[in-house]
Amino acid sequence: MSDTLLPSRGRRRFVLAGLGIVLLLHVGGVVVDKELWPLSRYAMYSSTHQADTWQTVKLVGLAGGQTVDLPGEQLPLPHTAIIARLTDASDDVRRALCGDLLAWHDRRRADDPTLPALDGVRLERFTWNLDTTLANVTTPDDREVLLELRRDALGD
Amino acid sequence: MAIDPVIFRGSSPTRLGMFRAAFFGLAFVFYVVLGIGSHSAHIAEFADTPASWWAPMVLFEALGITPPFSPALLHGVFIAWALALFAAAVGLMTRTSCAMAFLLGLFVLGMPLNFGKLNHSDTIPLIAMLVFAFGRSGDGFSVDALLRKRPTDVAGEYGWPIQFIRVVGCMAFFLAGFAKLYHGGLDWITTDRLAYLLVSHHYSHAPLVSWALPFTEHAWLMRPMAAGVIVLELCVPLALINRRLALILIPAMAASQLGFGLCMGVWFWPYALYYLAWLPWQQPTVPAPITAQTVAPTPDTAAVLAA
Repeated sequence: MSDTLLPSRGRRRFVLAGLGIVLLLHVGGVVVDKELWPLSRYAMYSSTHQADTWQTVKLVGLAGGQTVDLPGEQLPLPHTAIIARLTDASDDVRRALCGDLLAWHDRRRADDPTLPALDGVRLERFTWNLDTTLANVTTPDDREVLLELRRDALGD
Repeated sequence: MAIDPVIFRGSSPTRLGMFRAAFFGLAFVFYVVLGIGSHSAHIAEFADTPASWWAPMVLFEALGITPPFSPALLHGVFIAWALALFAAAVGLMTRTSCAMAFLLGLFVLGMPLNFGKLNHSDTIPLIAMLVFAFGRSGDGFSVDALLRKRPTDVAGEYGWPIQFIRVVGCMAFFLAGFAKLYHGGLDWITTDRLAYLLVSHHYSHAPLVSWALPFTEHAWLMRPMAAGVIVLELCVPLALINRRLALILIPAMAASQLGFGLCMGVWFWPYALYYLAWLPWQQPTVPAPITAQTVAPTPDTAAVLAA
């Protein structure tokens, strides 16, 4: 390209420095194995985990002796954090997390009375045997209660 | 410098401006009108999130941002971001609006990711917003151009933002391929990992179609496909230096992501913003120097021509 079409040397250095910084920060994330959002290692799906089953852990509400889907499923990210912590947390932390969840749900119910009144929450592990015909896709092959906390047991 | 021809390709104020308008226009539609690809449109619902659920990313931890947030504040930030996206699309106070779109976008797109689950789809659009802010993206096809701005005659000044964004996206694809080899090694190819992903996502993501399922039982088919995924991701950067390869690699990458969306239910909507960068905004051949008859020279240009 003709030099008359190139930006000034200083401008070119500025742009290339910016590009270099962006690239180096990404590589830095790879080296230290840490997500530095809004940069990323883009390591999604990079593990080699595989199995004959699919498992997922979900929080469900308890209302009138039945389990109900939590409306927060529309906003699954907070549940992700709770689930990740509930599995390994101490009893006190579990009670605090679930107490916060019930209070959070109560505030939503104040705005939307059609939501069920929750007696408690339950952490359940759902397991499906993988089947390429998907015959069992709507019904898990196993459902295990990992944790159940009722409102009256949470205390203050 | 050998890298100059790769980064500082020629374009024009109008072409870069049209890219900017398309990019921010589509971003406005995605994030504000349709609310897809992220939780940005529902950000106000995070207002009363308990602090005990907060798992801050490095950036938010460094900035000391913690819940609870005021609903009015979250709503206000989202509205301000929407206005910045719109202003950037039409090219009004372009540099400022692009910078605001980036800065507010860091919060709007990033805040919902501080609850234990990261999403990488918005990272390239965010970086692109910053690139537009530093480039002369408001010199053409903008309200600013109608009001006051005079373009420069340095064609490379209008090409580098496009190429910068292309490089960042190619790097993301390359890192995705690299990560598979780094973390999984050849096992990612030589085992049934891809088949597992395709089947298990029918239980977790309810994809639109089940076309891929019959193929997952055939290792002789799935393993070459897994190799193809990695090879494609690693080779995408070649599109930066070879136009013919770009015509193959970029559509192949887009088709790959579309395929994952259809068959696994994992949609990479914000990448549509990235693929806009590969439309022919740049001049296809080395442009002839702009002469004094077509554009009034800036002082710098006049000095170069005189020399």
